[in-house]
Amino acid sequence: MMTWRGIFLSAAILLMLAGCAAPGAPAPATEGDDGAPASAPAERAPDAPAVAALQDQAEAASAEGDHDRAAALLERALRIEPRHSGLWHNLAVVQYRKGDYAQAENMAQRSLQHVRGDRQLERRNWELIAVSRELAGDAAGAREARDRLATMKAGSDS
Amino acid sequence: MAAKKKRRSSPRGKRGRSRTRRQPGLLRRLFLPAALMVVLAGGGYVLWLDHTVRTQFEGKRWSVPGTVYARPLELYVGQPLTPAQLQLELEALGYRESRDSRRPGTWRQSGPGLEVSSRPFTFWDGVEGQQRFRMTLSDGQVTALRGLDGQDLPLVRLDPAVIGHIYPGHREDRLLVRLDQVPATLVAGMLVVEDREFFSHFGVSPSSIARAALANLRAGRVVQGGSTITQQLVKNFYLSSERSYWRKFNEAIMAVLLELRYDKEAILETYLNEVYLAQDGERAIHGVGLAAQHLFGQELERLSLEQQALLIALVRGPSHYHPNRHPERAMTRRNLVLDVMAEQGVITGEQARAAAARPLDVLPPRGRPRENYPAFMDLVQRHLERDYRREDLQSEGLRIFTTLAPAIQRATERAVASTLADKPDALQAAAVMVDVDSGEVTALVGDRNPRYAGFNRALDARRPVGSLIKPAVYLAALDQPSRWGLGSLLEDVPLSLTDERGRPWEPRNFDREFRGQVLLVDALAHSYNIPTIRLGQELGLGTVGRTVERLGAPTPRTLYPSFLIGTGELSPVQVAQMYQTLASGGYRTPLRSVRAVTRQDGTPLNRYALAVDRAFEPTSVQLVNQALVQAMQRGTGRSATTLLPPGLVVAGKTGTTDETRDSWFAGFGDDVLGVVWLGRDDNRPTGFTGSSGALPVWARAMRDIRPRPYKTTLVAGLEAVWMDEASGRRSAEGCDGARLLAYQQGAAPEQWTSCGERYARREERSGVGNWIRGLFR
Repeated sequence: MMTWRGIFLSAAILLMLAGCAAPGAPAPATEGDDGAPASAPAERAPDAPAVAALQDQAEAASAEGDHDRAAALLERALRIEPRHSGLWHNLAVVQYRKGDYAQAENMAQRSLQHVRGDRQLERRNWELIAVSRELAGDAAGAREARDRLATMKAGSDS
Repeated sequence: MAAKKKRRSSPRGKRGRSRTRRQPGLLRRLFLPAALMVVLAGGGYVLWLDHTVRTQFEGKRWSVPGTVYARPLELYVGQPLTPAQLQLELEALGYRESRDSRRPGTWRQSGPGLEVSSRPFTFWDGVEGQQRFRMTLSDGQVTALRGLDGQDLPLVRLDPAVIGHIYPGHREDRLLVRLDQVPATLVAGMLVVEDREFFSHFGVSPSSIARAALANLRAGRVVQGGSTITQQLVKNFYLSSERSYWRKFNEAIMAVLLELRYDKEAILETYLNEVYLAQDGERAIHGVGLAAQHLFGQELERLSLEQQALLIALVRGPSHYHPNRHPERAMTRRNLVLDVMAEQGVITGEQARAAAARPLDVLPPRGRPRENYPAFMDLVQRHLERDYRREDLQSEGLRIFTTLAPAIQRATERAVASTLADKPDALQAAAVMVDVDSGEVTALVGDRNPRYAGFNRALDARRPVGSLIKPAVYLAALDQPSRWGLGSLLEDVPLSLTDERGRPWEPRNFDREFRGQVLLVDALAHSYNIPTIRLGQELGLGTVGRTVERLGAPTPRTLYPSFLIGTGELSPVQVAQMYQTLASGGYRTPLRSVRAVTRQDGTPLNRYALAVDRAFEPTSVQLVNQALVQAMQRGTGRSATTLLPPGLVVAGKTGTTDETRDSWFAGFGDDVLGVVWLGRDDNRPTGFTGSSGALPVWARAMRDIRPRPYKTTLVAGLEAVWMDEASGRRSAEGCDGARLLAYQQGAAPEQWTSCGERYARREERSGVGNWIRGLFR
C-alpha cells in the first residue's frame, strides 16, 4: 500500500511530468551555476535538427498516448546521439507513462550519467527515480532518492 | 507447379485475405453441370474435383515468405558517412544511377553532391514518402542535406535494403494486391491479350478451344492452348505443367467448377496475384505487385503504360522474353501487346505509339546473390522463433526489420577475408559487431567464408575465452574503491595452487617472467596471469563469477582458480554481450538483431524495444575501461596502432588460450564494439595469439567502420591522480615514475612519495590546485 505521502508525491510529480517531460531537450539550467568551476560545461549546444525533429514527433506521439511510437522515435534519436541526457530522460518518462517503472529508473540513471552540470535535469531525473521506486514498491530506495534530492536542493540554494 | 499448397488455420493468416465471395444459390447452379458431368465421367470424380477446387481456392493461403530488411539508413547533417559507405548502402538498396532523378530509387551526381530520389516505404512506426534531395559528403560526414526546393531537411530515412527471405520449401514470392490497386489499363490489357471473352465465358471458351484444336491437329501435336484465364489459374493452382489431353480435360472441368462457385472479379484478382512473371536467383516472382517492384523498382500503381505492357508480355514466358537477357524479343512482344491494346480500344493509337517508342527501362540484373548474410539471418531466425511459429515466418508475408548495417557487415567480412587469405584453410573465424548503446548487432560473420551457411561459429562455437575474462576480475576489484584502485600494487611472484583434479598447478605469465610487484592498471593492460589470479583469489571466485554474470555472460557450475584466466567457454556473441556492458559504462543492454515485425501491409506486430539494466557503477566500469585503453596504447593491443587511423582511441583486450588454440580480441570505440575469434574446428593449436590473429581482423574492420573514439573524459565521481608506479603511493607531475591515473573521488591512497609531497605543497601554496583535471576534461 502506498502511504499518503507517497500518493501526494506521486501526484505532484505526475503533474510535473505532464507539464514538462517528453518535449524537446530540457532547457539549460538557469539556477544551476552555483560556483561550479568555470571549466564545467553548464550549457548544452542546441540539438541537431535531426534530433529535434524526432523529439517533436515523439512528443506528439506521447501526447496521443502512443507510447510505443514515442519510444521508437526516441530510440531513433538516441541512435543519432547516444549520449544525450535529455533523450534518455524523455525515454524514461515514456517508460514511466507506460508503467514500466524499472526501465523508467534505469533510463533516468542513464540520463544522469550524461547530465554534466545540468542541475535542473539532474533533479528531474532523481524525482522520476524516486516516484518510480515508490510505485515499484521500493520504499527504501525511494527514500534514498528523495534524500538525494533534498541535499541537491540545499546545495543549489546555498 | 505448386500442386500442393498447405492449408493453414493460423488466425494470423486470415486477416486481409478474404478475396473469395461465394455466390448465392451455388449448390443449385452446381447441380446441373455436375449432373451432366456424371454422365460423362462419373459423379464421384467430378465431386472430388469440385472439392479440390473449393478447398484450395477458399483455403488458398499463398505462402508469402517473410522478408528480412537491414536497418534503414538515416541521413542527417553531421552523420559520419564516407563515400564508400554511402555507395555500399545504395548498392544494397538497389538504387541506381539515372539521369532522370524523379524516379524513386535513383541517384545522380549533381555538382559536388548527390541528388537522390528515395522510394516510399511503410515502416512499423509510420510511412516515409518519396523524398528528393541533394546531399554532400566531406571529411567522412554528411555536410548538407536539402530538398530540391533548397530547404534544409533535418532527417531522411531511406527504405531498408532487403537482406533475405524466410522461405518454405518452394521459393515463391509475391506481394498481394487487391484488384482495385491494379491499374485499369493493365487489367484491360491482360484481358484483351490473354482472354478476350473472360467476362462472357463460363470457364472455358469453345471458340478458343476450336481454334487451338485446329492448330494442334494441323501440327499433329499440342502446339497451342486455347486456355482462358480461369484455365490458366487452375493449371497453376492445381495441376502439373505436362501437356496432355487428360490434363486438359481435368483443367476444363475444374475451370467450369471454379466459375460456378466464384465471381469473375475474385478469379481475376487471384490470377493477377498468381501469375509467374520473373525469376530472381532461386526466388520465383509471382503476381503483378511484386513483379512491378522487381522489374522496375516501382509501386504497381505508378507503372507507365509501356511497363504495364511488358508485364503482360511476360505472362507468355518470363524466361523467353527476359528483358535483360533477350531485350529484342521482349521489346517486340511488348509492342505487340501495345498494338493489341490499341486495336481493342484499351488505349488510343497515339498512346500505343508513344509507349512503343520508349525503352524497356527495367532494373539491371542484380550482380550479387541476395541471400548474403547467412550467419546474421540465422541469428534473426533464432530470435524470431521465440515469438513466431516457423511456418508463419515462411508463409505469412511478415516484414522483419533487423539491425544489420550493410556497411559494417561488409567491412567486417572484408577484414576476415583479407586477414585469413594467406592463412591455412583449417583456420576458422567468427566476428560480431555491436552498436554500444542500443545493443544492436550490426554485423555477424560465422565462417571464414561469410557466404557459407554452415556452422555458425559466432553463435555456436563455445570456446575458452582466455584473458578476455580478466576485465571481469578487475571490475570486481575496482568496484570496491576503498580496497583497490588502478594504482594498487599487485604481487607478481611464483604461485602454486591445485587444479580441479587436485594436481599442483603453477601458473605462469605469458612471457614466463616474474616482476615482483606491478600496478593494477599494468597487470590488466599487459594481461599478466599471476597478479590476476592472486587478485581473484583475494576477491573470491564467487565474487568474480557473479561479476561475469552481471556483465551478461554465463559461468561454469563449479569455479576453479583457472577460471580467472579464462578456462570458461563462451561464444563470440556471449563475449559481445559481456563487453557491451563494459563499453556502455555499466549499462547492460540485451543484444538485439530485430527491431520490429509487421504484416505485409505494415501493421505492426512486435517491436523489440531498447531495455537497459544498470549492472555496475559507471565509475567502476570506467576505471576498467581506462586500463583497457592502456592495453591498446602500451599493452597487449598496441600492435593495432599501425592498422588503426591515427588518433583513434579505443579500448580492448586480447585473449589467447593454451598453445594458441583460440585467438580472441574484444574492443570498442565510443559507439562500436567488435569481438573476433580465430581458431580451428578440431581445436588444434593455430600458432596465433590474440594480438597476432584476431586483433588485426578487428583493427582492419574498425579502420573501415570508423567508430567514434572512446571518450577518456572522466565521468562524475572520478578524478585524475598522479601515482608512483614503483611504490603505489601518491606522486606528482614531474616526479620520476609518476603516472596519471583515474580514481574514485577521494579514494586515492593518502601515502605520498617524498617528491610528490614536495610538489603538492608547492601547488597548495601557489593555488593551482585542480588544474590537472583539465587534462581529462
